[in-house]
Amino acid sequence: MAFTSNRIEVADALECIEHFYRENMTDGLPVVPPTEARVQQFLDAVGLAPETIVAEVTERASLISAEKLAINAVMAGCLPQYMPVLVAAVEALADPLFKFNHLASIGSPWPMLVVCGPVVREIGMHHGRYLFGSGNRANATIGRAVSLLLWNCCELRPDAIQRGDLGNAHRYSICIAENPDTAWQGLNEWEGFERSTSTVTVASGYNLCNARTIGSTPQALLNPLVNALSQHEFSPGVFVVTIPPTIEQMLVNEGWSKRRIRDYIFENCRRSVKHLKETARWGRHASVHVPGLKDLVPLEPGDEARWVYLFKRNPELDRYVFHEGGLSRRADVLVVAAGGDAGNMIGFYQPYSQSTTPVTKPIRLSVGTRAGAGTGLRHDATHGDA
Amino acid sequence: MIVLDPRLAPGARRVVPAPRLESLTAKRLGILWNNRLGGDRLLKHVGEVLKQRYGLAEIYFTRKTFIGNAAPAEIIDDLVARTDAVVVGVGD
Repeated sequence: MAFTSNRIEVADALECIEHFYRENMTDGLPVVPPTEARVQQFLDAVGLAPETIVAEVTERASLISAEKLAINAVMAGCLPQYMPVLVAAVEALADPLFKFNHLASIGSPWPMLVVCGPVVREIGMHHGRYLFGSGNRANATIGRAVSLLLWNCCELRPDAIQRGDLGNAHRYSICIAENPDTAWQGLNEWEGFERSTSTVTVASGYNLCNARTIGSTPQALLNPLVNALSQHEFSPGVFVVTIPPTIEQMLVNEGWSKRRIRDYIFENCRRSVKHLKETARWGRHASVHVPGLKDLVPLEPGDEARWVYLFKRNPELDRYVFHEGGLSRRADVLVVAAGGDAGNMIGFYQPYSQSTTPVTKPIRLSVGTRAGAGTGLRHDATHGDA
Repeated sequence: MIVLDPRLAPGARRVVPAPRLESLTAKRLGILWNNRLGGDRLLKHVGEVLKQRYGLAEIYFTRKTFIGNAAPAEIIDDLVARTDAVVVGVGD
């Protein structure tokens, strides 16, 4: 074992837990002691040397080594076979499109992970009832491993760069899987990969919301979602939407694909100028700031019939509602086939309004990979603690 | 029991700071505001304090087009041409 991390001597597991609390190396929950033997198991599972660089988070000038990733994964309670998913997740978080530094925002955004493809079944991830809840080890600990890694290696802590006003309940962990047997194209295919290629998507948002829907036609099923998406911050971006299997089946029976759902949402998410003025959304956080904006902007005749669309552009009106960050990034709806079989809850993760775009990476490693061969990962000998 | 430290070590950072100026006296100071509400006032105050304390030649104040996007190359090039040092920061 050629680890370069500082070695910490503790009497037993309980003392390890307390030590990690004292040193601010945990998220507030106890951790599994990252012994050398356990960390080595995680590296051996994917054939990575400790010094292999998994990703460079340029905004933090942080080189994330396989060793640090494995240590934090052990602490989170992961199993070694989760390492391929974690490597891809970290690659996604380090992608420039993700704009890592937005995680410091006062808005408290946090990245949700969506795992898709054959790996879901291989490592026993959950995509059914109580989708976002607790109980599944892979879902819970993969999300937490990412959280701990960012806590310990990228200063994403309230005592460091994380300046959110409210914080985020998903900060501990938020990771779901898509049903690999969905009748629709998978999220991996939507993002340009083969159905047989497992992927991880990171999508930064505020909170999980649900749209309770009871209906028998696609329009009746989707309009509560359209209404919900049109509220809140009303900022263009990429929305992750989860649709449970019962609703998926009803939509499939009516010939509705993920693309048709996306197009319907694009066509119908809108607010009137009257509503935007009444809810203090007009002329604020926009390309055009209405001067002296301490009170509501007065209504004008016809405002109730002038519409601003969340996804369809109208520069004349858009500039009073949307800022450059919202208009310049990708706008999309990532439909994820997942959820309970009782079936009338559509979920969505409201995207962070200021910047960032979801990133999807293929899972290139597999358990049993020898020495990271052909992985494209690089080695770096300069990252040691010494 | 031996456990491993999960934190990133200083050696794992690749920060190459710009060459330090020996003095700010008679230098041209750039200030890049990122558009954060109120940050302009804070940064201008910082500039005035530096000017009084170190005798700056001038202050050149400019802004990004949007807080969440990196400054466009033309803004960076403009700062490089006009200034000797730049203050960048966030303030509410």
